[in-house]
Amino acid sequence: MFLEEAPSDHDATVLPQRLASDAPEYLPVSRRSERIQPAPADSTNVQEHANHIANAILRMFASQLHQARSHEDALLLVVEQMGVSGAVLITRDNEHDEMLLRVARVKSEANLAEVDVRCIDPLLLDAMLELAHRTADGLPCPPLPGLLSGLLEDDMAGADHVFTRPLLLDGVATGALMLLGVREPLSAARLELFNAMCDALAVAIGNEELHVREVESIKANIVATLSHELRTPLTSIVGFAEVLADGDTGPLNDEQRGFVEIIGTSALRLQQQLENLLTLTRLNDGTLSLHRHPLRIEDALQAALGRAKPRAAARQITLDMCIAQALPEVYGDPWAFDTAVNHLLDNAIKFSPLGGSVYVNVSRVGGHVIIEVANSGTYITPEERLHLFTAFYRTPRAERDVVQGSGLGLTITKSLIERQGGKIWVESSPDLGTMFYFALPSGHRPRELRRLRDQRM
Amino acid sequence: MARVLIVDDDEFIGQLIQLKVTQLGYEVVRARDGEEGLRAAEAARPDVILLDLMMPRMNGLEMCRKLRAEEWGKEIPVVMLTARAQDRDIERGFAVGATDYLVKPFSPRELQARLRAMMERTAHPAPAAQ
Repeated sequence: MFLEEAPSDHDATVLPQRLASDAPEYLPVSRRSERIQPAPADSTNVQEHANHIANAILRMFASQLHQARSHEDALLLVVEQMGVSGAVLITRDNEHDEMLLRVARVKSEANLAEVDVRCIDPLLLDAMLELAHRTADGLPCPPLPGLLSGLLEDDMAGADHVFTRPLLLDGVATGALMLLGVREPLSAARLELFNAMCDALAVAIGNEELHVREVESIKANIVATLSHELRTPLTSIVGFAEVLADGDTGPLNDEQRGFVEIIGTSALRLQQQLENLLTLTRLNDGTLSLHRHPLRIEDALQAALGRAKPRAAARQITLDMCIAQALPEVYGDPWAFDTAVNHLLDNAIKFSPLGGSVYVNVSRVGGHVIIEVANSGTYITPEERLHLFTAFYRTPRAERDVVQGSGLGLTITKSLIERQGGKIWVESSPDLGTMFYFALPSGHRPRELRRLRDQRM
Repeated sequence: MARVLIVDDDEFIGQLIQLKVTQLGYEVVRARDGEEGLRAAEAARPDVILLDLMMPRMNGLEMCRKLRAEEWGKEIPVVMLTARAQDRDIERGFAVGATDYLVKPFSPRELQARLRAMMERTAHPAPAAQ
């Protein structure tokens, strides 16, 4: 059921022109392939119409693969059906595991409605529930709770009547819905419709969260199985390529040696991609455990530079390192540190122009050791920098110049560094090139860190 | 002659390891799962066991545990061949008595170097050292 193809006309985030002023109270939703009938005039069928709309919401969620779209569609449907100037929906953003606030507004000039995402914050739902708790239907709005006031101040101006509902499923709030710009009390029929839509949204969102968790666990299973099933043949390919290249089974001519090298290099690339995919999955599902030990930063960096040398040499790139004297002790996971440095060096080399230079600079700033991996001549625009750490993101340059990569390296690097209590950031200028920095906290053994944190709590 | 038992359900990986072990001048015994491996170990009394972890019927961890429970199997060095680098598998392997591990895909050259070092420690130097 979840894999049904979504209707194809969902690209626009605007509603079509609303009907003229003599339109029925409930407007048809022509954005979807299925049309919703306007509510009948006589009140006996109000219940029927509310059920109809509620079912439409459930189907909308069940047939959408993209969480964002079903939430936006539902919000637009609420605005349309309630005939209000706007509505606010707070739901969980499954990607970031935080609450996300969406606002739909009807633009008065063209009578078009559009949805924008205003904020992602774990505390949004609490603020909205507090508001719902303090305000009965149709009463003037009290001062908005701190977090919401900046976000919704303008939308609340001039609205005398507030309608806010928690989206409750089995007594647990999974989200909240608020109508904007209601200037006169809602009729009983509209109130019934509003309640039906809230109930349907609560059920749909509950189902969706179950579904997301199910998909996550299926995904983890697929990746674990694939990793074993792919590594086994890879072991044979890498191994026998090495056996042949070493001449274990007799000498090879130059052409044969060249081909065997291609097999070996390609298999290693495949292996690298597999490792990346696996590491990312395990970082996401929390099954990757890091163990912090005192790091031998200089040794680790020397080793990483040693491994990078052939790749740099192939592009005539010079590698340099500068390490500050008397660095404080840093605790981290040696494997995670190595992986992070490798990804950064690999990128710096891949994206340097031929004959460029890459340098590593280690310094101490306050309680942190900062490692800088920089290259000459690559500029990353501010727009690209925004997405740089997003999984599968590739800069237009990487695509255009056909630089090999999957767009996973920086996502993994960021996650590994943060998991060690560190931070990563990037600076870039057309003159200087691109500098990646990461900082790891110095001095505290993990146990002491935990004690310090416990004291603070 | 020093003897190496290879326990792996994948025929090709078995052949690959056999090639590199034979190059060192050791005798090779092969088994394709933990049950077969345990019987082969008891019959052949190898000097080193190269043991895959994920196998049908009896996996490598279980085989290693059972091996260590036998009087004759307590001292035989066991090198685990695991498909996972960052995993509890390695800790579990050591917990059931493994001596060393290699992550798949491994370099046959590295396998050879480790095996030779292990044999030298257990006073079975390679007869035809290369």
